[in-house]
Amino acid sequence: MGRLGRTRRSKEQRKQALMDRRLEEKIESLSADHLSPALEQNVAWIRQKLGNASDLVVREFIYDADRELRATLLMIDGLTESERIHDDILKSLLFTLQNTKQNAAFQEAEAARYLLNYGLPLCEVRLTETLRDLIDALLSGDTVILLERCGEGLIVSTKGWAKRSVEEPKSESVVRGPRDAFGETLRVNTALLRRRIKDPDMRIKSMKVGVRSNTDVAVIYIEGVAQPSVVEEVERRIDEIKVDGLFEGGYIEQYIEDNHWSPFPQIQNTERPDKAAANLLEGKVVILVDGSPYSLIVPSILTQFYHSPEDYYERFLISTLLRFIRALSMTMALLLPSLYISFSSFHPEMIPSKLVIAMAAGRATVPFPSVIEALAMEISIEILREASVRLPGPIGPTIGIVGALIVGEAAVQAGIVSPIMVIVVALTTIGSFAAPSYNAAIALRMLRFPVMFLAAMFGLYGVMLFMIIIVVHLCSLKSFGVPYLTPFSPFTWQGLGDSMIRIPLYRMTKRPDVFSRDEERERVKSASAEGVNPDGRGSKTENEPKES
Amino acid sequence: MVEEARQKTNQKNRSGTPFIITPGQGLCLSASTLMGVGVLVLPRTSTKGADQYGWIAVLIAMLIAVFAVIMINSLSARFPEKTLVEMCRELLGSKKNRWVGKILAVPVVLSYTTYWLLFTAFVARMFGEVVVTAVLVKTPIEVIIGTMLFLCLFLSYYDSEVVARVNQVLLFIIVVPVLFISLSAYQGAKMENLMPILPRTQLTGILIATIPVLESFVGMEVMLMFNRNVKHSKVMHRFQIYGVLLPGIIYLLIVIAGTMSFGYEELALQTWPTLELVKSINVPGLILERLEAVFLSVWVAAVFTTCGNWYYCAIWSFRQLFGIRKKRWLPLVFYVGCYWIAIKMAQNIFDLFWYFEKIGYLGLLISVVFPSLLLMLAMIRKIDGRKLQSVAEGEATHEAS
Repeated sequence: MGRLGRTRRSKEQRKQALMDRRLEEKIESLSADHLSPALEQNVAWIRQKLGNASDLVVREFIYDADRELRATLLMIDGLTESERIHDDILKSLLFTLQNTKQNAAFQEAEAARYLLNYGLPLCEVRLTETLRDLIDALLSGDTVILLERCGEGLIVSTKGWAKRSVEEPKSESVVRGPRDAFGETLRVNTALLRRRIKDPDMRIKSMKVGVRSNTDVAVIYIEGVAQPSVVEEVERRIDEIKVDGLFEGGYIEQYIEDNHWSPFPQIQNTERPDKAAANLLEGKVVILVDGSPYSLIVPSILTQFYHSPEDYYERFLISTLLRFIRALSMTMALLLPSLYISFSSFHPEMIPSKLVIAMAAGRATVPFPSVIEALAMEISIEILREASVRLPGPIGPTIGIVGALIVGEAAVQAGIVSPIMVIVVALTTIGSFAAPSYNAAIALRMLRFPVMFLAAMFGLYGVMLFMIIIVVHLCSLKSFGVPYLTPFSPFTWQGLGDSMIRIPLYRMTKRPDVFSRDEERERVKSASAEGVNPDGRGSKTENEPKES
Repeated sequence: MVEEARQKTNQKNRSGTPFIITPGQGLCLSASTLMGVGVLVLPRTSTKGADQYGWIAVLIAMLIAVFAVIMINSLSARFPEKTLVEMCRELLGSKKNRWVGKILAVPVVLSYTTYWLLFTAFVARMFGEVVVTAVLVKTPIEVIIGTMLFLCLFLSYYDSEVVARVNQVLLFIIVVPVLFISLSAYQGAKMENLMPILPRTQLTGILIATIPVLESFVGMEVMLMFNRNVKHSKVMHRFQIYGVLLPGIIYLLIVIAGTMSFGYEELALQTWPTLELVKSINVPGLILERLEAVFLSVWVAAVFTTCGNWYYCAIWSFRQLFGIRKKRWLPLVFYVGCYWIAIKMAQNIFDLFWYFEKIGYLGLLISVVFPSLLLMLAMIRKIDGRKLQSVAEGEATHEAS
């Protein structure tokens, strides 16, 4: 009995299995390139490809009751704007679509085109014949409509997922200047750039990176301004990236940068659209990655890392002063502890005698040599800083106060560190915060430690040894063919005007020649500046503000 | 994958247009090679025979150096985009038998290589002596020499483009503080130490003093190697001359300041007169009480550009002479050699000065006499690469059109 039943069941199973296999074979016979006219097969193929995903919504309906024309709508829940699908797609196809019998031109094989022309009141609709396209569209948040006995499918753009609105920049704040920042959505970001540069020559090239994540990457430049060789090189390097997925511009940065071992960043990033737009006008290439609010700017040179967009919005004297202050503070962030070490342990004769006495009095109770003292303080301030970054907003400053004020004060009173050391460490930290770009500041923070060791070994000689090594390294660096130390070496007067100092805008008559092709469109002096500069061969066109 | 990508870009860069030294970089290359340890003893050596007319000796030496630069320029302009090695091969050999040139070039180029190596070693030693006596009293001199030569080793692994850039950047760092220091050294200057200004009796003494002064002007011969990346033009040649005048002016300022503040009798007794000069400076506002550590740490850069360029040229010429492709081991071997020479050759500081003088004479031979001889040879044999090149270029444009 049991045996019989088993055989019977197995027969049924075998039949079932045969049926299944046939269906599977049919589905497999569908190549990814072509839609089959059979609706079920297409739907089954998509379902199978997506592994019967639970967030795949499949809605079957009849769009022409008279002829019983069936259609299937597919979308992925959560990536789409459901209101749009209800109001604009389903409503129009189910309620307002003209009866196909009234239109003599209607053919079933051309049904998709018919719907495109008469049925869908939406602008972003396209036809496709390949299944792979459908999958891509589904996964990027579009809605797919498949029709019976029609070899074409409709892709309706209904992208709409939870996203932030355009907010203020978090890491690059300015006193004066626009307050919008890039967001996580690529299209919004490109629109922010388009809004600033209404130039038909602005090119946005889309690429897909990531074998599995299929992330959209946009390479943006201005044709005729950017150097074609740089654009080509950028595209080639991005093409060569082979990675499963990428979620931030930083992935791309690490794959395409020239020197992976250098502590200095060779690609600038910004979340400010105004900065990115200004760099486009200089002839640089901007890379935007979907899902990341940071755009990459290539090629980049050293001086850019202490420039802030504000420098161009304020009057030139102010910005020149600010740049000097920033350069000074970054030098302090790099060298101050090592100078302290070398002065206090190797060259006390250089310090004015009154100060030397005060320092000696402060150091009298300190049991360690100054290098240990400095190292301990620098490491603890690094810990503090890292801790305050990780903590949620309101607690962060508290850590700063507890760490810097209370621990510092207590350490001085306990006689572990000297008061001068506390001042040095505080100045170093503040100095590194004055750097407008975070990654350049980190490079300096990192390099501070080897200098301290060298200073502890050789005093000022050691500091200089280190500086020479850094100079040699910087000279050897190139970012996409542009020497990293550009306005200084190779030296150009024109570049110097926008490096440590910033000359007035009306004097900036040309684009920086290292980045852009100058011969195509030369920037000309603005009409308003003619009175200021009598020998300017004036012109009527407006001066484009030049930024970096 | 990334490695592959990088290699590809490297290949792409390499196959691109070769690097060309800008006139400014040419200036910096010769100027920073010239400025080395010589200036540390210059006030003493220049006033040794010439008494208070040391500055006239410097002036004469500067003129001779300018003459040498003109020689080197017109020699290398005849061989565009060729280094010393290729120059010698072409000059000393015939077109039929190329091996003659190859063999005859060996002693000439080798003399340059040994000279560059020797000078690297002795400059490092000299600098080590100053540092050890003046600032890092407890540090063994071997460490200072070792680290200085290590910097040269580090530089020698890069290509000539980087060397030119490094010189350009470091020259800023050197010249600005040194100008400041040499100008503020006039604080204690007394005019009577320089009087009478025009010499009447001391003429032979001035001429004798010119020779040791000239030794601090050697270094422009590195341009014979960097000629590979030079595109000759009038601007380039003018900047080369500026490249000698700039250190010359600084030397003049320092020598005059030294003579004026100490007087030549006292200068003769000082081992490192320039350092004494720096010690005598009072900084306004008393930010720093003494400046010699600052001066010496700036001078690290000056010495490095001298040593580094010579070391680089030594390796470059040697490698090209024997067709060595591998990059790794040669600098290391030379490093050991230099280190040994620097430490063992001279027993003490007097020994060192003696050797330094002798090598200085060799330097005069190398940087003034040899280029002149080679230029004369080129003129006699009427070898001029420019014509060939311009003819070839003309053909190329003809074909293109």
